[in-house]
Amino acid sequence: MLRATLRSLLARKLRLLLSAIAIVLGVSFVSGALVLTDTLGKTFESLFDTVNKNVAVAVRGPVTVEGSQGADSSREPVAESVLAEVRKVDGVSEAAGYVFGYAVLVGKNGKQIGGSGVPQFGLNWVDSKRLNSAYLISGRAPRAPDEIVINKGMATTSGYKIGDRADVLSQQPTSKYTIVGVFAQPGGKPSLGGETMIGFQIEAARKVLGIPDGFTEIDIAADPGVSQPVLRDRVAKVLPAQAEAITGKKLSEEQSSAIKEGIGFFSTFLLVFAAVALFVGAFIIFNTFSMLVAQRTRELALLRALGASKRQVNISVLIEAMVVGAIASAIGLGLGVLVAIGLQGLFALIGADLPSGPLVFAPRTVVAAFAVGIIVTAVAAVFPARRASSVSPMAALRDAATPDRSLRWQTIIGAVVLVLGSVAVGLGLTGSGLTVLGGGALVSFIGVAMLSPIVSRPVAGFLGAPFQRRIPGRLGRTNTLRNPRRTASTAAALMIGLALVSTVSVLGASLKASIEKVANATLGAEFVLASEGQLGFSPSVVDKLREQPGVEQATGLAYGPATLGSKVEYVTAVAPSAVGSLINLERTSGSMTLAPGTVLISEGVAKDKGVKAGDTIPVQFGKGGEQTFQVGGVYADNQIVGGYLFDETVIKDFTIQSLFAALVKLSDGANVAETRAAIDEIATPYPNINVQDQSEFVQSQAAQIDQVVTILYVLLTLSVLIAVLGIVNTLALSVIERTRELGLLRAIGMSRRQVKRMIRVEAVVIAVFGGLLGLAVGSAFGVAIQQALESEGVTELQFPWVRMVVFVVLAGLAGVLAAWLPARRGSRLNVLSAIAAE
Amino acid sequence: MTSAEASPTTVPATRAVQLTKVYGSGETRVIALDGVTADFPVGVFSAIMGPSGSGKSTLMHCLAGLDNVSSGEVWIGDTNLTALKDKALTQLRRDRVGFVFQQFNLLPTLTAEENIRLPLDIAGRKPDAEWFDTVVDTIGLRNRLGHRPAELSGGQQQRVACARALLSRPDVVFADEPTGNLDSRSGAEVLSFLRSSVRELGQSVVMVTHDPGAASYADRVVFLADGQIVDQMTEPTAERVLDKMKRLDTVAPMAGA
Repeated sequence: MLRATLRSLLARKLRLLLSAIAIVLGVSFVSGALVLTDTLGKTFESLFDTVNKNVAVAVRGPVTVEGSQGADSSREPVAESVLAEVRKVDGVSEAAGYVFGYAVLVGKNGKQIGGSGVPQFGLNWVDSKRLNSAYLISGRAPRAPDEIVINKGMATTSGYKIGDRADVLSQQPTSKYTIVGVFAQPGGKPSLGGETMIGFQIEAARKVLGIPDGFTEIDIAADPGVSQPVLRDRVAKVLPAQAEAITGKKLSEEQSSAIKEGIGFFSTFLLVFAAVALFVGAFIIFNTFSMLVAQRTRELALLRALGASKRQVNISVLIEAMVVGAIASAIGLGLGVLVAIGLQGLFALIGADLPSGPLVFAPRTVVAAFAVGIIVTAVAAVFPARRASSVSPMAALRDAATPDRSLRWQTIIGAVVLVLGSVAVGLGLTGSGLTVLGGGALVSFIGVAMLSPIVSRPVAGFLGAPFQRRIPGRLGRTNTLRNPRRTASTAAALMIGLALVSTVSVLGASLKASIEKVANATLGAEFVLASEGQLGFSPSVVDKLREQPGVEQATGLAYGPATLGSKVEYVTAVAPSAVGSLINLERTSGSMTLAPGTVLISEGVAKDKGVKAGDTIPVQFGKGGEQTFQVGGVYADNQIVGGYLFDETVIKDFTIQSLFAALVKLSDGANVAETRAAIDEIATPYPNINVQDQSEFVQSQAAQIDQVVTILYVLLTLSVLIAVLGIVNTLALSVIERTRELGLLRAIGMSRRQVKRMIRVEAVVIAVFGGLLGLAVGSAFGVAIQQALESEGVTELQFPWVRMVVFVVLAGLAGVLAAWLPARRGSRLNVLSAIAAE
Repeated sequence: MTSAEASPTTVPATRAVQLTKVYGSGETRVIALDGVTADFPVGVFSAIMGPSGSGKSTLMHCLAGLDNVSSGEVWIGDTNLTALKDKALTQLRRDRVGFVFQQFNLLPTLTAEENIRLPLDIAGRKPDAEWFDTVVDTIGLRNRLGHRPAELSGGQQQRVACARALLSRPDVVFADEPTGNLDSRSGAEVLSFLRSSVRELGQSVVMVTHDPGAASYADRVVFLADGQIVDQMTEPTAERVLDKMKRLDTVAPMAGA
C-alpha cells in the first residue's frame, strides 16, 4: 500500500510541485524569521559580552518608569558621591561614571546624521582602556567642553575630519563643537549596530544630556581573583537606598535581551505574515488534493476493489500529503537562509547597519519548519483523504464521475463557522486580545470559503457574462460554473490575501480621515514644528517663536512615559495658555483650565480608570518622585493630545526634556509668508524640525499612515502571490483533467489562440470573484475594527473606492498571468493523444 | 461546401498518395502505414477495415489532418494537407472536415444544440437555419436539443455528434469507430443516419471500424493490413466482410502499433 502511495506521488510530482510552492514560501518565511532572530540575538550577545568584558559590576539608580514597547526603563541617576565610595571598596580596581542620553551631529549638508530608526547617542567619553571598550583610532579624547569624539561610522558618513567644527543638537540650544577624535568599537567596528555616538567631556555631557548631577551608570572593574558576584555584594553595601549593583554578566544579558525583544517583535510580525501565507497555502493544498482525489477516483476504487480498506486509502492520501509537506519544508528551510540574508540586506538599506555574524541554525528552526510545513499540509489534506476513502469499489466499474454532492451541509456548517469566527473577531476587538482576533479572522475566512460555492455560480456567471459574445469566452465561463466548489476554493485563497489588503486599506483611509478631522477640530495653530527622531528639540525654540513678531502664541509639546497606577502611559505636556486657543478640546466635564498640579484626561481614560473631575491621581515621571495631580476636567477622546494632558512645568521631570513638537498661532493681520520665513529661520539650526502649516501637517501624518499601509501591502503580496499560484495550479489540473475535451475542441477546429482565451477567461473570472469576495470580507473587517477603535479616536469610516477598484482590476490581471502557463499547455496539447487520453 | 455538388466525380473527397507513417526510430521503429494510396470519392460512404494494428486509425488521422505524415501526400478536395501548418490545419478541420469519435464526443457543459453549433461558433459563423433544421430532423432529436449530454443516451449523444459533424457541410466527415461504445440498436441508428446523410444529403463519409456489421452500411470498404491496402469491396455485406477479415487475420497474425 505504501509503495502504491509513493508511486502515485512520483507519477504526479509535477502536479504536486505547484501546490508545494505555497508551503515552500510559507516555511521559508518562518525559518527565515527564526534564523534572523537567532543570528542577531547571538551576534548581539557576543557583542555585549565583548563591550562589557571588563565590567565586573555596574551600579545604577532606581527605576522610575518601566520600559515598554521596546523603550528602556527610565531611571534616577546615581549620586556623584557614590563613585568615590565605590572606589574605596576592597577588590575594585577601577570605576568610571557614565552619563548617557541623546545627541545628534549636524552634517556638512545641514542635515542630521543618522536617525532613520537607529538611535543617536551622546555620552561622556571615559578615557579608560578597561572600562571603555570603544577606543580612539585617531585624534585624542575631548578635554575642553566644546570638544567631542565621534564613532568611526559617523565619521565616514559625515565626511568630518579631526579639527572640523560641527553643530550638535541636544536638549540645549544648538551649539558648535570641535571634533578632536574618532573611535571604533571592539574589533575596529564602525558602530555596534548602525547607531551614531558622540563622546563629550564630562561637564559638557552633563549639560548637553540634561543630567546636571549624578551618573546614569557606574562601571566597575575588579581586581584579579575577585569574582563578579562577590564584588557586587561588596559594592551593594556602600550604595544608597534604591541604587542597585548588578554583575557585568547580568548587564550584558539585559542589554542584549532588550535588543532581542525589539528583534523578537519584528520577528513575530514576520511570523504573522508567514502564518497568513501558510494559511493561504493550506487552501491550495486542500484544493490540489481534492482535485487529485477526484481525478484518481477509478484508481482508488480499484485499490478498494482489490481489498484495500477505507483506512488504508485514507492513510495513503495523508502520507502523500505529509511527504509533499516534508519535501516542501526542506526546500523552504533552505530558502529561509536566503530570506534571512535578504532581510539583513534590507536592514542595511534602511540604515540599520546590524553587526554581522555567522548565521545561526538553531535546532528549533529546523523543528519549527518541518512541523509547520508537514502539519499544515496534512491538515489541509484531511478532508480530501476522507473523501478518497469514501470512494466505493463500484466506482472503478462506472465511467462517469460521481455526481456533484449537495452543498446543503457545507452551507449550514459554513454558516455556523462564519458566525463563530465573527463572534471571535468581535470578542477580539472588544478586549480579548489580538490572538482571539486573529484566530477569529482565520475561522471567518474558512466560513466564508465554505459558503462561497453557493454564490460562486451566480457571481461567476455574472462576471463571465461580458465574455459571452464569443465561443472561447463562453466556454471559459461555463468551465468556471462547472464545479462551484473548485472555483470557490481557488477564489478563496485569493480572497484571504485581498481581504487583508482591503482591511488595511479601509483602516488606513479611515485613520487618515479621522486624523484630518481631529487635526482640523483640535489645532488652532497655523504652523506646526514637528521633530524627527527620538531626540526632539530644545524648549529654547519655543521662546524664540514667542518673541517673533507676528506670532501671537506658541507652545511646545513634550511627550514622555509616566507610571500611572501600575501602568506605563505616554503623556503630553503643553503651555497652559495653549488649551482653548492652540489646542481645542471638547469639554465633557470639569474645566479645561490647565495649571501646575492639575491634569486633564480624556473620556476614555476617565472611563477606564473610573476617575472623574476633582479626583486626584498619583503620577511617577521619569525623574523626581511620585507626585499627585488633581483631575481638572475631562475632554472627548483626542488623538493629538492623547489620554493625559499636563502643564509644561512637568517637562523637567520627563526622562527627556526636549519637545517633540511646537504649535504656533499667528496674530491677526500678520503676514503669513513673512512669518513663515521667520519661523523657518528659527528652525534652521535644528535640522530635525519640519515646519508645516496645518494642511502639510495633516499630509505628513497621512504619509506616515501610508508608509505603514505600504509595508503591510508588501508583506501581504506574498500571500496574494501564493493565491495566484493556486489559480495556476487549479487551471493546470483542470487542463489535465479536461485533456480529452481540449483535444476534441482542437480536433473540430478550435485554434490555439481560442483555447488560450478560453482558459484565460476562466482564470480571470475566478480571480475577480476571489478579489470581490476579499473586498467584501475585508471591508467588513475594516468596518468592525474601525467601530471597535472609535473610542480610540478612529471616528471616521472611509472606503478607498478608487483603490478597491484598482485591486479588482489587479486581481483580474493576476488571473491573466496565472492562466499563462496552463493556457500554453492546454493549447499545445497534441490533438491525437489528447483525444485518446484516459 | 461546393465540392460535393460541383465536382461529383473528378476530385475525390479525400485522397492518400504513397502515404507512409513511421513511429519511433531504431529498434522501436514501427511502420504504421507503408505507401498507402487510396481515393475516397465524393458522395460515397467509405469504410476502412482491418485487424487491430493494421494502421486503419492512423490512416484516418492522417487523412483528417490530425496527425502529420512521414512521407507521401494527403489531399482533402484540392488542398494538399502535407503542406499546411498547424494554423491552416486547424482552420481546415474547422471549416472542411467533420468528426465523429468513438467516445467523449461532446462537451459536457453545453446543451445538445450548443454542441451541434460548436464548430460554427468557433469559426464565428452563423448556421444556415434551414440546413440546421434539416440536420436536426434527420437525427430525430428535435425535442432533446436543450438537454446536456449527461441526460442523453449513448446513441443519442453519438447522433448529436453526427449532426455537429454535418452542420458545417464539410467536404468529408471522418468517423472513428462511431459505434464502438454503443449497443447494437443504438449503433444501427447512428450508422443509418450516416448512410442517409450520404444518400439524401450528398455527404462524403469515411469511417474506420473493425465491426463487419458496421462496415456493411458503407458503399465501399477498403481493407488494410500491416499498413498496406490489401483489398477493396463495393456493396459489402456483413458476411462477405467477416469472411474477408477472417482471412486477413490468418495472413497477418501480428502487426505493428
